[in-house]
Amino acid sequence: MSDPLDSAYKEFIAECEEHIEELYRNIDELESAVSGGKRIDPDVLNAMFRAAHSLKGVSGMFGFETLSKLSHDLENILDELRLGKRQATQTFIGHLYDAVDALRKILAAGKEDALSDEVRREAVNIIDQLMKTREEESPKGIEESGYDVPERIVSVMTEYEEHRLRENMRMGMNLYLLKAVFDLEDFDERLNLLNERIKQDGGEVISTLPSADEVEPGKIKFELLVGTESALEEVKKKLSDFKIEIEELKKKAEVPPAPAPPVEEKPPPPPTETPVHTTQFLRVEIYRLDEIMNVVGELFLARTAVGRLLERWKREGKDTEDILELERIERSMERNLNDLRERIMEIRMIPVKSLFDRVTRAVKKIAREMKKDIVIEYSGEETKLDKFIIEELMDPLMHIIRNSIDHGLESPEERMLAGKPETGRISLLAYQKGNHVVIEVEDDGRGIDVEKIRAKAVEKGLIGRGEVISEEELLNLIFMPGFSTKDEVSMISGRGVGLDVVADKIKGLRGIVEVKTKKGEMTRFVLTLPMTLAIIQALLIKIGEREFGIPITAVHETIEYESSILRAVEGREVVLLRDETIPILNLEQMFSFSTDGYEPRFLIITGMGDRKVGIPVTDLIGRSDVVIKSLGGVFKNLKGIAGAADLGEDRIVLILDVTSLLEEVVRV
Amino acid sequence: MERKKKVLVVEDSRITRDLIVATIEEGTGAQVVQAENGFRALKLIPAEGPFDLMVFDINMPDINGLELVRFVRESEHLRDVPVIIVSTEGKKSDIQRGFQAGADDYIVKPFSTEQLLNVVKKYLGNR
Repeated sequence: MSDPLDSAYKEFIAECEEHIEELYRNIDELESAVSGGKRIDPDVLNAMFRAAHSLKGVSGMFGFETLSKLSHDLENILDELRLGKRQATQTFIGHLYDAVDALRKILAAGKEDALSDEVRREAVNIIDQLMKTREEESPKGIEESGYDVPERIVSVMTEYEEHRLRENMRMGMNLYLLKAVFDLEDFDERLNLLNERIKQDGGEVISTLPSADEVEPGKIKFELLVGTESALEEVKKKLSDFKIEIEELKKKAEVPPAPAPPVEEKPPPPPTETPVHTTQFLRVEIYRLDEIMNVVGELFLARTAVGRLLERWKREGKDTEDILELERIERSMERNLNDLRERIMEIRMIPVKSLFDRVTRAVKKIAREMKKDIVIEYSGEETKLDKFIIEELMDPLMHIIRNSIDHGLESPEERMLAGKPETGRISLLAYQKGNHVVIEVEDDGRGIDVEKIRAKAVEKGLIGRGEVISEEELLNLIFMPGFSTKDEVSMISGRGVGLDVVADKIKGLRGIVEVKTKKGEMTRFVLTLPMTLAIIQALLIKIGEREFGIPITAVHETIEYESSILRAVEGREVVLLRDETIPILNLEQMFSFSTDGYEPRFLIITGMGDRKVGIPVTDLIGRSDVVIKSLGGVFKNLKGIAGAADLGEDRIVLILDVTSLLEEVVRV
Repeated sequence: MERKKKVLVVEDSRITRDLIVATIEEGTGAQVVQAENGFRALKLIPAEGPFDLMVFDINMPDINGLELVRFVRESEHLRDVPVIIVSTEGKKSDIQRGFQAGADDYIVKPFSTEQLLNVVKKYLGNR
């Protein structure tokens, strides 16, 4: 495929994904309205219809027939829903989720000829099922009373707008025709504001029409058809800061009052309230930000080089005015570069809410399918994390949760006997901890049986019979490949894919996963992740003649190294620090190089989550901003190394991967 | 030299809009101004006009295409600009509605680029 086609194709997929997300978002809204017994916002139903409509349109244009056909079916169903010809029952919503899942699966195939018959058939069945899920129409009861809505407005209404008009009539709402003149420049903001105001009042803008009436240049007139419970006087009061003409539309039977002479169109007053900004978005692929970040990394190097040059000149006594001036420029450059870096980072950061929503959706689906009684809740959803990391977290989180549903949460009978509420609970929590983001997944199930793990570990030969091993270490064994305590194959978590996959994935994101449990009460998985992978500050150290970098976020503290602070526990070297026993890891042993007789002078205490390790080093060089580049080929999976960073002047350092170093210590 | 023809395209799907714009630009050499919704179009009409042709989608979030057509037809200085509706709504009643609102032509999606180009040329050539 040639390049322009390829990029148009990517755009196509991206747009389809947006529509699918929009569908999910609105089904979520609908679900919570229906399950909470609240009024369904017509905008939600309309947005859902529009998303299916757009999906149909765009997939049709791109020749993705199956996707187009099925989203067309979905569109028709959603059209009936928004037109009040279908009822949104729980069963219907369940099938609706399935239908969107099916569409997403089809989209994943990428194009028509890559689509398997199986996926297609399945999707057709699901949509068929949805089509058949049809409750009796709700009785309309009240007769639609005729209002005197001007023909010129009715004639350009879409079917949906007509439906909304009828609904408003049926509910006995008062109908008003609003006429307003706005500046061309900000009429959209003003209209949005007006719309919001009417909605707050429980009303609805049924139709918005630009009017062709002659107005001053630079201005535009609109007519709005509004339905609301409020009486004319109230509406006038609520909208008093808008320069508008309000006309009440009377029922046909009533004699309309003589129309008031049209008010002279005066220019609207300057807005007194804070204008609502219609935000404009630009979608960019995330790798573009990476590219920019790389350039910023290069700029940092250039700045460092300038700094070094200045240092040298000063050392050599060339302390002229020019050099001082240059120093000022250099400092301002550094400030701006830091600012730039921060801003790019901010762009990459998004709240974890989107992830939590997706997980919640998936859990509800599993619960429905398995007819299990599970509630899922989350908090801390505003916590921000790198978008790339968020995308990568869906699978591991779902894996953990499937595990909880499968092994953790007991049957209702079992829970009753244990004196717990029948409904099992899964809670997600996110928060920031220093430079890391922590995500916790907790279930209130039976907990992990540590003794069972011990037995299994002995059976698998991972530990010796009677070997003394802490509970924490035992629990960590569940992340080992091939480790599973439940023998039967499960429908949800399956066999063979264990929690080691989760641990690997999190490690790949330079994070760590830990587990805590209380028998009979709960199991909690704690994921600690860096906020971003893009650019980091590294502490540069020397071991012998060799330089390494350690991500500064993973450095707890640096202490002086003396052999007197070392102890040995079961043959392992440790350091006692404020009642904590921290294992020591010698990098020269791990990577088998020689320190050429240099003695360690400092001990770096580094770690993640609750785990720490001490690394003896010869020298501390300083800190530096680095962009980590992964090592290619055979070195790619080198234990203990996250990648390399260019420091300029032909200096390349290896950046240590703290997560895998911690693992080394456990395994020693 | 004759002035370059100018076309306004209003369509909320980015990818479909791109396709329409590229087809018209490459196929007729006309200059195309594009809007992602009706509000934007209302701003562009006085700012970028006059236009020789307008192409509207119907189903759009703020104001719909039919309302736009009516606006064009009733505006003193826009009255004669030909308008083509491009919509996925292909029922007879939908098309009827489009014509009633004042559209000159109606194309049902999905369409081929040739189809679109034939219709567009018909209106650009006549003026």
